[in-house]
Amino acid sequence: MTFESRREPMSIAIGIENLGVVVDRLRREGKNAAGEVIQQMRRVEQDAKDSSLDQLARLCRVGAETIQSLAADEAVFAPNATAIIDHVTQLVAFATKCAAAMAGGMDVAGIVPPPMFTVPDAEEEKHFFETVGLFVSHSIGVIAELEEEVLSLESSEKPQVTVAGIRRTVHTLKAEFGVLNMSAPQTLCHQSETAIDACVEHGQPFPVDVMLLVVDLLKQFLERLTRDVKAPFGDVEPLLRKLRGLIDSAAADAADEGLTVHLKVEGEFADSLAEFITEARAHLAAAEVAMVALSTAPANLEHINLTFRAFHTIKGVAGFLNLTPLVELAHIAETLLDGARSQRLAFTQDDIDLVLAAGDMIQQMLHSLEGQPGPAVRAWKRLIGSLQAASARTESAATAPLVTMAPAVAKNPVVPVPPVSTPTPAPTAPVAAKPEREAVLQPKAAPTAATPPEPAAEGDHKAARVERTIKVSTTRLDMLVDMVGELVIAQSMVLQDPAIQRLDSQSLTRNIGQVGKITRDLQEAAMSLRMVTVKATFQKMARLVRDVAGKAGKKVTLTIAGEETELDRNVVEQISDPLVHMIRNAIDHGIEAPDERRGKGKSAEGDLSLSAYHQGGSIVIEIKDDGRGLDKARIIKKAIEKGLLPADTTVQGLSDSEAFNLIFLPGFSTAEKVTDLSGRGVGMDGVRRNIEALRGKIEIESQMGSGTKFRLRLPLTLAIIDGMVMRVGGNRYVVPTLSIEQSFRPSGSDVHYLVDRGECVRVRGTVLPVYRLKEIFGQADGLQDMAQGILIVVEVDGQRSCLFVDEILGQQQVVIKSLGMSRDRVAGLSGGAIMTDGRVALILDVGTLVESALSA
Amino acid sequence: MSTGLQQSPVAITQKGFTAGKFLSFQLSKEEYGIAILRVREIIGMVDVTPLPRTPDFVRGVINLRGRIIPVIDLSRKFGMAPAEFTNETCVVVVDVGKDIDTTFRVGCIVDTVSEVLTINADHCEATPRCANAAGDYIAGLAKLKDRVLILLDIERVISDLDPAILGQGN
Repeated sequence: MTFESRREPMSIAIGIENLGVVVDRLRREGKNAAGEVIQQMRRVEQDAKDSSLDQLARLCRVGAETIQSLAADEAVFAPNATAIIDHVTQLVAFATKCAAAMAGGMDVAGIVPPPMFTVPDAEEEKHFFETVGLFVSHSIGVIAELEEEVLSLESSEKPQVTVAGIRRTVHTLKAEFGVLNMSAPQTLCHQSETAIDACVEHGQPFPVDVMLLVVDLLKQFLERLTRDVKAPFGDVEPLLRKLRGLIDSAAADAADEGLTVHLKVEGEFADSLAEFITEARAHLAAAEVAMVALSTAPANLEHINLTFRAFHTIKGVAGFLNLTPLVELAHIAETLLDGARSQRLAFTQDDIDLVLAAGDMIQQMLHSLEGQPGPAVRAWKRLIGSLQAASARTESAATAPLVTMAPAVAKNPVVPVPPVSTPTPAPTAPVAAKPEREAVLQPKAAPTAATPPEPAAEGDHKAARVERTIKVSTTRLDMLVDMVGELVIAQSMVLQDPAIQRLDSQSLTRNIGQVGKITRDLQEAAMSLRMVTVKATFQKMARLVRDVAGKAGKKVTLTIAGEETELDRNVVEQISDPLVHMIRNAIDHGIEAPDERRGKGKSAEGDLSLSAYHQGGSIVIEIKDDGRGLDKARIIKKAIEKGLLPADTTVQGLSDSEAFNLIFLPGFSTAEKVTDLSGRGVGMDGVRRNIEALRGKIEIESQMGSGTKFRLRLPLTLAIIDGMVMRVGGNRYVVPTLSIEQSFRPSGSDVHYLVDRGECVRVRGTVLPVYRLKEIFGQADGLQDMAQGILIVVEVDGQRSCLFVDEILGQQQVVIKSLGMSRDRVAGLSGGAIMTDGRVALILDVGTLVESALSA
Repeated sequence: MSTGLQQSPVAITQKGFTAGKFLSFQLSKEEYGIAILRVREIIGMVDVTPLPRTPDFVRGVINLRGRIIPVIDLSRKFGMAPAEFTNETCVVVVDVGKDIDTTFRVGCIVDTVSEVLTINADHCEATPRCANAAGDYIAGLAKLKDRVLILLDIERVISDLDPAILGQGN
């Protein structure tokens, strides 16, 4: 048997053996081992696919998926554990037979596969046909009565009488379910009873809506029971949670301390939820931009209109999804905006703040729909109150002018709302501390809450313009990109196949060309999926500048440039935090107060600019202010105080950049006073860590009295770059075309050897150092004589130098891939690229390459 | 992790040893074993691009279906002559790390793969104490009927490439 034919079955045999091992662990450790089982099954699935064992692959896939869904919940997993173990054991047996048959060259078709894995019915049922029949016919009547009673409560003058009746009915139902051993409906009835009691006891209104939901659920269950005595009850948990929330909120009375707004979408709407969240975010972002713009151009009605439409659309869809607290908030914000739109009231800065706060809170509610803690009920109520007060002045404007209302609003700032722009909602700490207490907000007698999406013409119009997006996991995206990469390689291998090239057919050439073009387009499209513009991030910063400047009592204009610059999605996500820190610092410490600025002969308004651009194969993001600049002497003094520098360090002893880099040390802060904005010394070292984690670099330029410039240099991690492919001996290297200035073949007389300085070459009158790539990389082969090779002029930080290579093979777009090593180990390389022949070429990072050549 | 060897009077190195299935392979006439839970796949020898400025046991990087992974030469790592490539030479691809997202995937060049063996604590023999630091890579010695299998703690071997691995490994 040849080696090749032995290896494949071996690989699959290993997978199967492993599966057997982890199944044992499943037996011992239960759910904890499930993850490993799933992973292992996936592995076998892939091996099976590679070996064309389709049936085995399918069984593994279905099995893995089923186990995954079961493993999510211990309560579901435990009763099914035996079934899972049995199934996987069967699967292992089947797979072993298949592998053995394959290794022996036999046909696998004759092996009987185990049945597909399906979730077994966990409910253990008894035969109680007669009792159930009797019970059902009786209870349907009881429940219909119950429904009537509950409905009548809303119109009844003296509700107390019926509440007692309802309570009794529920109690009876509970007892009957108990007799039939149906625990889920029994619990539901029990909780409903407790909820009714709690409401009565604390003088809360009767929870009509929730009770109607209970009634509906029971009704549906009974109807199913008439058809099938073993019908499962369905998912009772959401409703139970609601009831528990009701009990808590009734008990907690008006004291909402520690409660959070809890939102939940049930049943059929759950699917549209993700879409709603994405769209709502887009609307909010647009509204936020408009509101920020409004502060500089107050007369622009279009901004208000746009914001109004955004809130209106969100309200409409949220109403459809029954997200009552969100609808209420959006509605009241909309009312305020409507007042401004119809010019019934002058829209003030305070109003802008309120609308922004409402937007923030809706953001937070959206987060809570994704499982994060929602906003505090107290904050929610306060915000609604403030908004109501603000829009109420519309109506009373004639009699009571702004003076009475405006201060009240201003005094009641909406600070409890944490800024949602930072991904970690740290300020919600008190909320997070008591996560078990969640309250369902009563849909209070808010007539608007139930309003269905009114003439949503404007809203629809707006929605049409919002780009539709879906969420895709990055793992899948990476997989797609990898597979397309392989396709490109496979395509070129076909093209270069000698057998194909011998064929002399015009149509074949044409068709192959067509395939090649589609492949390239596909690759480009796949790559662009990961790229996003920095626009959204920059817009968030506009909001931040406004807020921070307001709090710090400073005037700042923000200029944004290059917001269309595209970066890898992961990078964009991770630069947000560092940018927030740096912008806060710039406003808080950098830019002076208006008076101070006038005294220095500057304009009262500080300038802050945020820009993004490409440079030398990387993306640069620049934050520049025209504030007081970094004080070198003070930084050094501070560093000595903190023990970061020896006490005898003089100001002249350090270069500017050495001194400035001290601010990146942990625990360093030059602020005289610690404000709530910045100055705790936690920022800059975190910033540097974040940027370095992205393989980026951060540079500071600063001039005392005239400002500071931070430059973040970020690599395009997973991006296509235009590269020149070079050859040195038997190795190929890719140099980003952007780093290359020119290339030429030197004549012997241009090359000099300077004592102590190494080799140099004269290029158009200037003398540049030469680095031999083969020497930097310690390669044994490669040309020695410079006159036979090529010199490439590269520029790093304004310094030009030459790299010596054997020859240039051509220009090509390549995908940067990680080398799969811890990166510090390979200075001078930014990654690898898979070339058209399927081999790997190394991509040079000219910056670190030259740096390391200098230090060597 | 209990291996039932407590009664043994000799202090042994067995940090990484867990009874179970092992893939055995040849390396300069010695036979080694790796826990197969770590083995992702076995591929034939492919073109390796040398990686400059790395320890000499790193042969370079290869393209594993669109993903670039480093390849190490276990022979050289253990101070033996570098592997001679034959058509039996192959790369055992191992995954080190806790979950799919953070796994560190490395190819190990071995002379040839032999079989999958079940090794339990009874087979496991004390590792003789040697001054040689390489002893740290050995999880134990498995005494089989006619031969001895050196069980590698592959996590430790690979951690020389990236010390962070030990922190996240299980």
